[in-house]
Amino acid sequence: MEKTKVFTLVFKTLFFLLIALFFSWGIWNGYFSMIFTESERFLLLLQQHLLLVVTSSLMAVAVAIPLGIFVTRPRFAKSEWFVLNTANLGQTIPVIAILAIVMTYLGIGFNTAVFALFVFSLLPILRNTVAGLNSVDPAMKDAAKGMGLTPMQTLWRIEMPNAMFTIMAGVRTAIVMNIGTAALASLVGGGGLGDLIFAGINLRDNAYLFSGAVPVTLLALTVDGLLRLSERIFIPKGLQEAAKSA
Amino acid sequence: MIEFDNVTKIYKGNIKAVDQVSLTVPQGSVAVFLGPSGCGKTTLLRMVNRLVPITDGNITVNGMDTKSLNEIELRRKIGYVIQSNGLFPNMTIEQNVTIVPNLLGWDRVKQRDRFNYLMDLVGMEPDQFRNRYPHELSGGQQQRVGIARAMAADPPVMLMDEPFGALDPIIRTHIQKEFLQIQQEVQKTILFVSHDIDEAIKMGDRIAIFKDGSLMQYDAPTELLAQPKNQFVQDFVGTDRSIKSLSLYTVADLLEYKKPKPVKKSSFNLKVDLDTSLREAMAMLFNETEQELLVVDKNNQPICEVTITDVQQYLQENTQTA
Amino acid sequence: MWSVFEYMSHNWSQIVDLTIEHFQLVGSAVAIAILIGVPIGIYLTTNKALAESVLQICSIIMTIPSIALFGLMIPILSIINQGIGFVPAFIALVLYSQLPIIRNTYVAISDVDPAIRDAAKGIGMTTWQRLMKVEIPNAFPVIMAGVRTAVVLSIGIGAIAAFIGAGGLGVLIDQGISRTNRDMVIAGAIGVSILSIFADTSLGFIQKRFTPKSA
Ligand SMILES: Nc1ncnc2c1ncn2[C@@H]1O[C@H](COP(=O)(O)OP(=O)(O)O)[C@@H](O)[C@H]1O
Ligand SMILES: [Mg+2]
Repeated sequence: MEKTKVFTLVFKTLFFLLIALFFSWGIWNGYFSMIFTESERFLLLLQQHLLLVVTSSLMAVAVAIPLGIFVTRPRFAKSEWFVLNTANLGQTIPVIAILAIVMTYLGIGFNTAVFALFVFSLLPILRNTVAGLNSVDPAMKDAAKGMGLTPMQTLWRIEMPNAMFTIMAGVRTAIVMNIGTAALASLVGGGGLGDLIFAGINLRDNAYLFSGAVPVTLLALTVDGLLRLSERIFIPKGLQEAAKSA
Repeated sequence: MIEFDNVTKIYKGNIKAVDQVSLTVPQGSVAVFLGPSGCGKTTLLRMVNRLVPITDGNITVNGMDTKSLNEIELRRKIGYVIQSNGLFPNMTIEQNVTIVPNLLGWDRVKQRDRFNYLMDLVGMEPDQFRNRYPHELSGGQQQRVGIARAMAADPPVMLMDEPFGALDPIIRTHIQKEFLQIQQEVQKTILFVSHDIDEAIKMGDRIAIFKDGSLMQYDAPTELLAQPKNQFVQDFVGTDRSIKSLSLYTVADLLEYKKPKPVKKSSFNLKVDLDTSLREAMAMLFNETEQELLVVDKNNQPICEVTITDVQQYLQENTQTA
Repeated sequence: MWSVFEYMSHNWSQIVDLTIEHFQLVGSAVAIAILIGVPIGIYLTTNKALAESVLQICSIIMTIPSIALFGLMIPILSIINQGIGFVPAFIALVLYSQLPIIRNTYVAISDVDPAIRDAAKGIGMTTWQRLMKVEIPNAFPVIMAGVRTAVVLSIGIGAIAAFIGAGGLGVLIDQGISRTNRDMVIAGAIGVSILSIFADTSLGFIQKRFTPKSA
């Protein structure tokens, strides 16, 4: 038993050493210098990046969750098959293709990037909303109905809270992927930190590469962590504990 | 009072789940719907609160035709308990129990009082469970909370679909007993679905036996056991039905019928009180080498002794009429 | 729309070449990813603590945006003069494929019915025989699902890799954008989408065929 633990510890240490090595190497070579020497430009691009992500994510949440609720209502059960299969198919289409196709129709610029990111974020949220709502125990819905809850009351008091875990996971996945994908917005003139990465690729300039890629990565990891934390706030306590003990 | 008048249910695909059932459940009594799986018990039950629409016929609850009422209001006046308790994991026990009062807009104090009363009623400490969540409770406790929740708005009528079906036998027996005590206090009109003849005998004031959606017999347990109307009922209640019927009688019943034998022996290993069912008494006599049971009163004073022969005679003369 | 078809028919052989290139990149990367990931996944079933940290690290890697990962590999691989081209793309795809493959292998092998495992032990199979004859066959559909995820993911990321000179269908998108050739961009987008849908469907078919009927 002890051996496996030691092995685990060694493995973790190695991983963190590798990361530390990477950062010291970057700092040593002054690859992050651009963030400070051109901090105004950097901050502007960061701001653009965040704006792309926030706008498209909010739009996606605002469309996907109601749509997910809609198709899971018994009355519209027939639409569910269609919507889910479309979503699955959509998920298979590479994001770069979505971006390219949207660009050929909307031209280049911020709006094109936002729209492509929106389409791309829609699918994981929609899928998880449907999956979450469908996974609510039918006996529970039956009990609610039998006690005289209206369909709306059943939805808001029972179904949504119990599906929240899955829905939030979908929102988190979508936003985190969105942060990475927003780096491609640069290709369609949408700005963001991708500008630095692509400049770095084209100019073979390590300072640009580091100053773009490292912040995007850290942003994605941080937001992922923060959203995981916020799940503790949004998800009803009883469900969190049930999940823990299960 | 609940009246079923020629109630029929035909599901999509021409499946006749309930076929022209008529029966009346008197106010404050328990009617058990009994029968093999798929015979339409659940369907019949769910037509009362209109979770299943009626194809033909009428159901009236306390004189009101259920069809004439708004279905949401109807359901709020009818308690509903299901096998897989259906507690809401996102809500605390108190929120679960008081959900209907909450929807009805009761004030906080009234809701809390009701919670405290109901938890006491089902034998759980209100303060200990108020802020707990369903997953922290045992199966038996969850089912008790389910019953408390169904009674929250004090509905005159309760529907219970195999409420104890998922519990293990020991806990089930225990909770059945408790439930009968609760019923003595609250006197609801109850429809209780079961597929277990023993449970039906224990719980029901009357038992309705179904086969393929049709009502075979609707009678008090004693009648049902003594005079099964047809082969199906006879097979369903089983060949040991006379022994089953013993659980309907207590030692007190036996003593009423037969003058007690005075106590002869000086020491007894087996003691029973007047409330013990004859079935239990019989079981004790079979399991031990003793020939007699000592019957004692509330103050543990000996009254008389009872032997297997006494029970047997009682059985023959009171139940073997068929 | 018509002009896109025209473009495609005029440049048919180039598109086929790029598709093959794309396929080779993804195929070789996923093949290596399977050779690395499946044994790791199997080993992890014997070490729960390590499994947790390995899966955590894999999901961190998964969280790194692909274009950022390419961006970070350029300076690192420039040290051995491989900053752009096939090598960084290949490494990135292998890395991204690890999470679905390791996780699914780990879960699938851990979930093999203990009764089946016991039966195998009971008839005197060695650990190795058990693994090859019982555990892997039973876990196969789930492992396959992981491979399918990895392939679809790799096809998409492989298209982005064209921007660091790795070739493949992404080239049409890359060059189309810089030459503002709309037909070329759409041809690339459609090509890579079809490749992805085709791979997903055919792997899904295989996955289904190997799933026991009872499950
Ligand atoms: N929603 C439904 N649609 C179609 N048939 C149903 C439905 N619910 C129940 N049935 C059928 O009606 C019959 C009675 O079912 P049910 O009332 O659940 O029986 P029980 O509760 O006695 O087991 C069965 O044959 C069952 O298959
Ligand atoms: Mg039933």
